[in-house]
Amino acid sequence: MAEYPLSNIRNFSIIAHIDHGKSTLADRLLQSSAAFDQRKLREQTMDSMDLERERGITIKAKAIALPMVIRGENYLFNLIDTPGHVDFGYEVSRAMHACEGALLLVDTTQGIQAQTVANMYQAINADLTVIPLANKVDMVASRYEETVAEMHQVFGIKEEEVIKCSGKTGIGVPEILEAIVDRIPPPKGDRDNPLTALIFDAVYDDYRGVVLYVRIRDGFLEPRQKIAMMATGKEFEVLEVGVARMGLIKQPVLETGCVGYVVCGVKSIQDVGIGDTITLASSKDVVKPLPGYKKPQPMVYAGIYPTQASDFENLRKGLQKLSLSDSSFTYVPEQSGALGHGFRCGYLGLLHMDIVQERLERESGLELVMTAPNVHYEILTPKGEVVKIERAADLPDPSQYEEIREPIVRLNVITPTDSIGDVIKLSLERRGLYQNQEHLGQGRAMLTFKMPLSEIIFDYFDRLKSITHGYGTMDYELIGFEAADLVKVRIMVAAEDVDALAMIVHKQFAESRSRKVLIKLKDEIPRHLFVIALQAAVGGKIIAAERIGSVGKNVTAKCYGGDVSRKRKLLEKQKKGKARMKMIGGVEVPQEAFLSILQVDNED
Amino acid sequence: MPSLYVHIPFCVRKCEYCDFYSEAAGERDIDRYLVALECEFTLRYPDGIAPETVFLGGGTPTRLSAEQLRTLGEIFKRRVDLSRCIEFTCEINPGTLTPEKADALVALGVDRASFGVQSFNPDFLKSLGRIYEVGTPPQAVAMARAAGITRVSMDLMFALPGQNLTQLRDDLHQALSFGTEHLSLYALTYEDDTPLTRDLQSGKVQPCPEELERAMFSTVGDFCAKSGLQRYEVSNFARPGAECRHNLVYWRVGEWAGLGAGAHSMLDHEIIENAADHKAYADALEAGKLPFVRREKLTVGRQVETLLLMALRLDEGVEVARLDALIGEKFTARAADALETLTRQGLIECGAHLRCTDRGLMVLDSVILEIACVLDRTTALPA
Repeated sequence: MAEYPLSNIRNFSIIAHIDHGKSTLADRLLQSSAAFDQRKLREQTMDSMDLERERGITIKAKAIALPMVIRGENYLFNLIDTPGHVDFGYEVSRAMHACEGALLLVDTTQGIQAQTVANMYQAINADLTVIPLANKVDMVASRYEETVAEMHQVFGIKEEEVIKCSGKTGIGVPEILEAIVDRIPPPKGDRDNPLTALIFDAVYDDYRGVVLYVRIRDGFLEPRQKIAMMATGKEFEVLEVGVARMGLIKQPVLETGCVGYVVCGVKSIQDVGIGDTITLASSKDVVKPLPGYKKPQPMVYAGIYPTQASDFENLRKGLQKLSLSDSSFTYVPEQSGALGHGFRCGYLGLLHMDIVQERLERESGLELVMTAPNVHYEILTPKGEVVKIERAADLPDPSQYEEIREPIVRLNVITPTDSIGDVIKLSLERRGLYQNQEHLGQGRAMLTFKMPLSEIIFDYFDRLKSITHGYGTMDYELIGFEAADLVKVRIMVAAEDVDALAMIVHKQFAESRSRKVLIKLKDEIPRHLFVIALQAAVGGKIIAAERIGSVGKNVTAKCYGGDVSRKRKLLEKQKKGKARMKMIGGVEVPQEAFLSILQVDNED
Repeated sequence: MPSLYVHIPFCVRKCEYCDFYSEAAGERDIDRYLVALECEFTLRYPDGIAPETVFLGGGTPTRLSAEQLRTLGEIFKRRVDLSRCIEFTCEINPGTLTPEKADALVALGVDRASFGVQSFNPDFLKSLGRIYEVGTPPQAVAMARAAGITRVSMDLMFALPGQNLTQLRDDLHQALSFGTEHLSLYALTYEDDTPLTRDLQSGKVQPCPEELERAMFSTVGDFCAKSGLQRYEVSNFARPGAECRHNLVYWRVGEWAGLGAGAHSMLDHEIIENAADHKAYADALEAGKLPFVRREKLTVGRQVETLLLMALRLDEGVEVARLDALIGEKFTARAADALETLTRQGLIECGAHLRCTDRGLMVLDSVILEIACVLDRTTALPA
């Protein structure tokens, strides 16, 4: 890649709300590059994990180097992919810091959405040159004029800056390519300065170990250099550098301003800090690290337990293997009276949690019980210490702490204006504080609330989708911890405390949510040969109770002419069902019950 | 010698609740089927078979014409030695019997008739898709008796959509008015992929409330007891000595040979299943091949489960010594966890026999599941 002078390199990413057509446009750009073998081009090249493909989102950022010929001149485009989801905000910000520009892609059939706004703010923070694109203009439902007006109102974008395009048909692609050359500045940097390179992503590769994706700011990277990671202080030797295209392509050197990968013998992705700076071991004391590095902080916690106690070690291995390729989830062993030995896992958000849990079940083949997720809390002890509480069962008696604090987020919701009233009502019910409202035109508005994160993970998004008929979108960011009137609700099944079902809720919701959890449990727990009492308590006080009656009649009436297999098949099926259950106080509790806290339909 | 079951997979039409293999077929199909059936006898029992009990079931055996029944009689004469036979049952759909067919059945060796009446109520007959009128069953019973069939059993269904206790008692009363010595009383089961189940799913049919079904389960027991018929199996009631000997072979997990399309055999702890489709069945035999589609030699574990599944349906239950012998150790020790709990809950009794109480019978599937799971949890059974 040495043939490209700095002035002919462009580093950029595409930012868009989910389903606004990012992957399709990326494919179009790939097809425009001379270097690509069309047959190998999968439909959505940049989403490599099956799971991402299924969910239609890109979880892990990657960079693709595209040789281009624009107006007869050779350019190198480095397209850096960014995850589109709120959970991965930090990763998005790091990926953007590896760029000079961003293509802001807005689906004109949908208009600006909450994540468009969130991503745009990050692009502005990263000081990127933004090229606004109005996508899907070929579609009948396209509302180009209104979308451009929205872009102007929300971001101050001028109409003449906007390029009309369609990833699907290729309309506007030549204009986009020229705009990348003309509008996005080439990278700056000095080859003669000591090496600084931003790690903006890392993936685990079975053959190479951890592959780091980097943007070279100053200096250059080549094999056999001794390098140091500035945040962790760890030192490595560079084994291989290169660029990514359909696969990884080895290069002799990564030059200033370039984007590419480095392999340097890192064994686990947990040893890598996304956002960390690589420099030469010899100059680690003289250079300043690039700004913005943070250790990823889990926002949501949930327990994972094997259905069979004997699978605990297999679960540990499965988590270990997953952690090789995902640096942003944490896991520590924990013990639950109800569920036995398992792990407390921390995730960036609910989507991240779903992805990790699904991958774990798929890749390890284990039968797992997942508990309902919760946020973490802080308690202030009488001695003035702040203690982190990661699960409700661990919250001590109120006499043991001065106050309890919960994470608070700033929530942006974009909704059709006719749902504004409902959105405000829902948000206030969820202890939200209304802060701002901005009309976007096209009959849509952006609402801003301050809200406890716990209320958002409690099915807020599902409810939002439902009251806005699918049009509402949201995005949030953590702004701090605040004290609140929170209590621990214990749930008892057949008089046995089920620690995995304990929840921390605001006092005003304790009774109503408890009742709903019990009703949900009543649905989930099959009837037994005996009556089962379900109770919820705060401290020593029972605040809600339900009962599950015993099995009334359960006998196959007819035995078919000598066909015993049929009955045995039924028994096998029942046995399998039973194996998935957790025994609590002599009661078989199905896995779904542990999520019942979340799925409570909160209509009031 | 094993007992003998012969399946006739043909019906005039299929009932709304039935998922058993049977189909409407032409006369030629039936003729061809009978030839194939004789081939199966020849291939499997070249020296003939001398069963103690015979059961001719379906489908609808009486869907065959008198001529075809006589053909079946010829096959039996050539292939089956009935000298040791103590019971020969034929299932009869009351709407298909004629005096001539009744004579043919007696000639075949039939001495016990099991009438699939299901209900005497015209509304229920219609909703179940039965083909006959209310007055038909009495006529059919009279024909059978006139031909010389002495033992009469009837099948009735209860827990029908919309049925109340009075209607059930009325059905029971009528069923017993024919000098009936045996009743099979089945709670209606919604099997997958039947028209009735589709109606249930679409809300067209309301199922019997569980409380009412429980009451009906008790009612049939009480009613029969008062009339001198004892519940000897979950759904079967008989005057003393009139129990169905053939079905007892199934429930006690003895040995039986099932011939015909879709028939199952249990021979030397092996399950053998015949092709269900009568054409596939005939094709195989015409090519000189056995019509088996599945054979499964039961492991000890599966033998134990099968025995529990079948024998716990019986009032007599299962002999504990037989379970001990099967598993090669004390059953009561192995299953102690489940047995203690279930006994405490008043669902089973365990002495020389392990048996269900009346309450236990009502939740038998759950009872068996508890025991089977405990057996699985304790040391693995020898293969």
